[in-house]
Amino acid sequence: MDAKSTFHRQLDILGQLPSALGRERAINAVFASIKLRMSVDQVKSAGAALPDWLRPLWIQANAATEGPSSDDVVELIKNIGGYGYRGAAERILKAVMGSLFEILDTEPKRHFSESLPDAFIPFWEDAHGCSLGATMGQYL
Amino acid sequence: MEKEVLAVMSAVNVFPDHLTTEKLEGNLGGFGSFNVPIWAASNIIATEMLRGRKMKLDVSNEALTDVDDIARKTSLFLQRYGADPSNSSVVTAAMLYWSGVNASAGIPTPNRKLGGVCRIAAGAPGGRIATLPTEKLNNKISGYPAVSAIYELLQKEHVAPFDPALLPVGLAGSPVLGHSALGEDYLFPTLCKKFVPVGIEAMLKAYRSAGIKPCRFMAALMAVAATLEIVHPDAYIGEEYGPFLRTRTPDLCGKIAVEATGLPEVLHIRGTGDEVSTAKVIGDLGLILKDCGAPTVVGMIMFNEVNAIVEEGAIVGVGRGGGPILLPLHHWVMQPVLALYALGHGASEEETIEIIRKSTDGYFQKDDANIAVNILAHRAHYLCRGPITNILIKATEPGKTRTLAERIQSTYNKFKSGLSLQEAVDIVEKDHVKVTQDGVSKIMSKILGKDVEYVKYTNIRPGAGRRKAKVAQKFFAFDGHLDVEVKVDGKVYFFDNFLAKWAPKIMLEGDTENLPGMAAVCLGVTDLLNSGACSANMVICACMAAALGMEPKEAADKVAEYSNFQLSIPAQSLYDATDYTTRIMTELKS
Repeated sequence: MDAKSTFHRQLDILGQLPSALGRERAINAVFASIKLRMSVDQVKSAGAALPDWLRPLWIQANAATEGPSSDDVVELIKNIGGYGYRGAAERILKAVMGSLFEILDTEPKRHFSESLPDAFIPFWEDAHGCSLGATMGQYL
Repeated sequence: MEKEVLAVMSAVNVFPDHLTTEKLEGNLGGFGSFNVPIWAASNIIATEMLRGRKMKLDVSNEALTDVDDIARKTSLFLQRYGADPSNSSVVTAAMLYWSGVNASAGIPTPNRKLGGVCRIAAGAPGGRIATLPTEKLNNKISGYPAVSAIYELLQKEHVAPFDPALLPVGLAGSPVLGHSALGEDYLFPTLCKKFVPVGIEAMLKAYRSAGIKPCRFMAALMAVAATLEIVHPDAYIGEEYGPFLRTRTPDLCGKIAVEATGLPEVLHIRGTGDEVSTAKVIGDLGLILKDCGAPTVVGMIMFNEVNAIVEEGAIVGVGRGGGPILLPLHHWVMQPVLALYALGHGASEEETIEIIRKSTDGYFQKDDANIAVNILAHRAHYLCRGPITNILIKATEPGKTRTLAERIQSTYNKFKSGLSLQEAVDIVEKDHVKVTQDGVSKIMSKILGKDVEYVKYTNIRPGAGRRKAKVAQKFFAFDGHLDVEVKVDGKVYFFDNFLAKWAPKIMLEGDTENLPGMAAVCLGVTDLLNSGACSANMVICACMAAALGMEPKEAADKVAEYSNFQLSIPAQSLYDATDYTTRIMTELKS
């Protein structure tokens, strides 16, 4: 399976996202919330680490939201994505992080993680535990 | 605050039963209904969840898991308050499912299925889909059509992709067939793809023939369950259908069922924005139904109402308790299950309160719906306290207080301005109708995808002329009369004596000319018929009359006489509330 299909499948499963629309919403919410805390240069640098097929979503990610902004990243994702509760937003954040972790090669992975704002580092560090492969053990 | 206002506010709140015409105590055992206990039982699940119990079925090497324990506590509680064991099993399974427990997990041992876990915990016997009833939509059928159609197919053609007579000795039941290519890639998918559509078609035909609007959701569940009674119900299947270890025969059955019924691919959970895969839900719930025992009609009604946390509920046929109409209170279970879902998926108490608060937005009578939730939550809280009823009461008590305060003050002002009790009842009922009319126009436009510009329900009263009995001349529910005018997509429809005359005329003649008008107004008519579920308006009128000096029995008798529809059936609660009002006023005046 290619990286794009792997990313989508993992995101759908980990994020409990049965529709393409839900997936787009999730990616937008997480990317937009990360970008909000980055400088213009950091946004460009992090985008460069992403695969070509994902970069347009990074560039387009838009934090326009009817909800309030927040220092709390989970709350921020909840507002941007329009999720009804924190648990959903946290699940989405972990799913996007876990799926990215799975598909990025070593060098882009390092580059992307170095660009991440501090508030997202704990989620990125936990990302290897959130990948689909890591969760499969429960089925055996 | 005027003493009368205080007395009425106090009297209507002495018991939650005062605000409804329904006999809630009768719901607690004996005849089989058990929705109030479901509200209470949700507290048991939530308490265990919040204690950190493992809300997952997996392959742990232990005789009894946390889910076994919670299932036992929940189902035995339900049985204590009147649920049949199989009914307690199916509802417990559905509640646990929505709170986040998976429908199945396992390898040969342990192989845990939520329906089976709950059945054993409940002490219920096994059952078969052929005898499993659907919920009651006035009439009801069973899973028999699906089962029968599948077995007819098996008789008519050779469905399996190979001749099993060729199987070498010793392979029947072996992993060579069940856990490798022959079964996983060929046999199981082939059978699922054949059985599910045939079962669905048979269910839909049986529904129609019995005069029931075909319920796609239930047809899908029955067909999937009937299929899984034959096909290996937790076999892995080829990876073209989904990731290995995550995709089994129920998931494929669900996918085929969605295609065959035209159900939307994605369903949404009310108030949360969460999407769920319809195929996954159908597969999981079908598996639960296969294993949960032998529920009766009442159990299946409750099962369907538990599933009404799905926002598309009314459209796809998943329960009716989520709105837009007020159902009789003994049908309602959506709100505690929604709260369980929210908590189980990571919502905080405050977030869950907000989700519940918003859940009444979709009702024609939002304020009455809020009161209805509050009534049931209070009633359940005294059977078994816990986090869910706490949340439900916190979500609804402020709104209920505001609504009652406004209505009581308004009724007091009406009397003080010189209006008679009859005039006050008339105005209050007309105001209620206006709210329903506005709600119908807005919500039905959305549901039907048409412009329902206005709807007017007039001449609403008992005694449409069909029934001669005195009770039918007195209470709206038995032979209700109403005229309806509605404008849909620019066309005006007028239906005089709608229930007795036009509804049967349109249906029996297949009158497609007038059907769009009927479709737009029917739910509103139902809402008016069910308005006794929250009889706050009438109770307030009667209590205020008593507070202002009328004999309590006389006040209740007169409101029952003057009410055209809101007191659709006789209500002892009216007499109890007026009696309390007089007692409280006596104390306040002393």
